[in-house]
Amino acid sequence: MPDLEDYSGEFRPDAKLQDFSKDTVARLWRSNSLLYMMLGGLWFDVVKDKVGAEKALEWEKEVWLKRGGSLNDMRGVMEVLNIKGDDVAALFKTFQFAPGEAGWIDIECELKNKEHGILTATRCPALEIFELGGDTVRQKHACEDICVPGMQLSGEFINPKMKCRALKLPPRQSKDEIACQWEFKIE
Amino acid sequence: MKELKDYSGPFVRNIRFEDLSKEALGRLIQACCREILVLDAYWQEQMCKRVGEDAARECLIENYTRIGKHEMKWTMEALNIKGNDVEAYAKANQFLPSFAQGFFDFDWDVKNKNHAILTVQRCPAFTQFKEQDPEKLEWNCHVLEAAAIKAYAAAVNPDIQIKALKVGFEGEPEEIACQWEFKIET
Repeated sequence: MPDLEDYSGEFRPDAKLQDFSKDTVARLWRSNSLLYMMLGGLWFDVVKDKVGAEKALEWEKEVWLKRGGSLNDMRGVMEVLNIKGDDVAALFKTFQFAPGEAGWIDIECELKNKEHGILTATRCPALEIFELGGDTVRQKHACEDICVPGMQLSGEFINPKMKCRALKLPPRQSKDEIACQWEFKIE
Repeated sequence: MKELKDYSGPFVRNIRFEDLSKEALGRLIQACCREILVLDAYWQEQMCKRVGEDAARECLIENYTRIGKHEMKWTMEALNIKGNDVEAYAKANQFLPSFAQGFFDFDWDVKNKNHAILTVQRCPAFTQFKEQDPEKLEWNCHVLEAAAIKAYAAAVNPDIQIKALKVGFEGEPEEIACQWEFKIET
């Protein structure tokens, strides 16, 4: 059976991912990644409505950093793509297919050598949503309270000696600017 | 570039999703679906710990009734599924990340465009809770699932009527997890 470009045709009782073309599977992966990130945002909203913003911010941080939300994003990708190693190359390979990174953020990975690299997020939908709503509290929380330690945790997950430094963080002066930039280095 | 079966080789700066084999892409989708379920579980645990089971359950229902319309919309867009009948709902449901093949085993019997039966043979929550925590299973099946399925179906067509044909644990050998009927009265 030739690859299906979409599922606009009749219902198939045994329809499987493998029935579709790569482009279609790629679109599905991106929409799933979007849902993955939106799920976290919706949980935040629901909890905020119930217990208030202060606790919701604190608990969101715990989910991503203490309970393992950040690392959850990496483990599965490393496993299914057989990504091994304890260097920056392994980290960047994982980010290129992690739902919470390349799944919904436009990223560029510049590997200077296996132990040193620069990750640039050229476009981040979360930042754009915060900017659009003028939500500086949530933006600061997401970028500084969660992403900064979360990126460090991701690096340490690959190699405890890996250090992450934020080279550029929001807020930004114009929409033409990149969203953020990070340096990873094994010292 | 030769199609990659995995990404065990060297770093490729401009690698694209399409550079991976279809099997590898399928595994990535499965991983993403698992991450969605795990992230959801982390939030549930966090809420249970902080405010107790009842409040966590209220949040869970609220979350799934809110997210349903987005999950349906994005899945239908990605697969170009049009229409607002039961068949369209069934087609999208086959590829929902929160109801992913491989984690759930299910069959759709589409009788016509406006009538179908969903049978779930294997459900992780059913398997886990049926003996460990029957009360939680009852709530999960009768309250959460009922509310979530209603919200997801309404995202396609608010006129889709849902009837639970079999829900909850009955103690029978080889018991299916649940069965639901979807119908639009014409």
